[in-house]
Amino acid sequence: MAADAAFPQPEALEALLSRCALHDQRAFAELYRYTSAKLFGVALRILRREDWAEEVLQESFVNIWNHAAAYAAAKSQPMTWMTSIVRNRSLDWLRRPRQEDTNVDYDLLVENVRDDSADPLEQLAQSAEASALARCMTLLDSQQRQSIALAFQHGLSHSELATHLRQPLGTIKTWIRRGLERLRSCLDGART
Amino acid sequence: MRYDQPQLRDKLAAEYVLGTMTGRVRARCQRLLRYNAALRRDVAAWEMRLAPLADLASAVNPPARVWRAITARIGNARKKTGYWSDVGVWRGLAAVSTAFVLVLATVLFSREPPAEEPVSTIAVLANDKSQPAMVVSLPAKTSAAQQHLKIKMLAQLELPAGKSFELWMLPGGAAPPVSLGVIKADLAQTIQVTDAASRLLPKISGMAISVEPEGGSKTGLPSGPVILSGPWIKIL
Repeated sequence: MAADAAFPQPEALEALLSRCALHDQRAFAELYRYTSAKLFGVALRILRREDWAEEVLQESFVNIWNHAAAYAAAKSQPMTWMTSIVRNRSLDWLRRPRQEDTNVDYDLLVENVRDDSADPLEQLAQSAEASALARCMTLLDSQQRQSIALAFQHGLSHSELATHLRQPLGTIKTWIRRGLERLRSCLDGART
Repeated sequence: MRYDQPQLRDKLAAEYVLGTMTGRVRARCQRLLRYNAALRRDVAAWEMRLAPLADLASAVNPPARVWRAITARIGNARKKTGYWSDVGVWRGLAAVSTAFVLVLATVLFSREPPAEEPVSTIAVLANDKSQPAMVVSLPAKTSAAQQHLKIKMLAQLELPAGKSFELWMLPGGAAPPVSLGVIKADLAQTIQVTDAASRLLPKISGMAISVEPEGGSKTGLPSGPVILSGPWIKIL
């Protein structure tokens, strides 16, 4: 099933999710057609291996189907809800005890992240939420910004960030903690 | 760490969503999430804050085998009977057994003042966590011409601004849900049932509540999230 180029409005995805809650398989197929490419991209970025990303995408959609009724309680945008499922599954996969020891494809990872994560802000402009986040990200130090972007988009752990950015673990943890605190006060301030 | 302190909880939520924790800490956080509603709210808030970052990932079409594997796993058995037909699904979602309905019906209605009418059919609607949240019942002595349903909420449901709750009959088979109309957020209320709906009532397999635009669904079918559902069970 190929992905649809036109990405639907949140309301349309929400309607599809509520039909999924009623076990309407046609709605589920439509939901997959609209969202699978984006979500596969999210999983691929974190997992960096196609076979793993396929596995996680499959798990995630089964999860979305089984828990579509729980979407109502989530009170978030449908795409945010589904992306969180995919990110959580990907991170769970990446942080399996066995996996953490092996540190696979690390060089590949470093190559991949170097080019596009140094300044992801330019791309962040499509929605009001995105531009608020982009504006708040500019208030962070560049190290804070880079470690948060690398962690969120590529699933790097504290220790992987330390290796990648050649900094002590404690420094990384501080960058992230301060960065998140600043982001929060900036974003929440923007909302009120 | 004491996660009932809002600041620590928020910090934990932020790091969880960012994903920087080791597997061990992550698993511990997930155990906390299961029973800590405040932490779940903080996590959802952080997911919302950082969501635009996920948009930066470029879309990549997954191979067709992924969809095939998904459909195989969600059970093709249902294809034969139609989309709205699976009462088992509703029952599974609600996870309310007949025995439980009977007990609850006894508790709810037998201790009422004698003026309270006995009921003939009842649905206990549960949320996605299988907690009963609403009881819809059909009084036994209602005249066929003027049927009404009694609705009791077991806990106040939060109605989002600009939205309405809509009550649906689930006919079973391949038939789509049929609206019984918009209901109020009141703890107890009675709604009148139209003649057409009255004729359908004895035959339905379940009921559900969805959250719709103010005034009810514009499409004639549930268009917002389904928050409650349960089987419709004859007890008299």
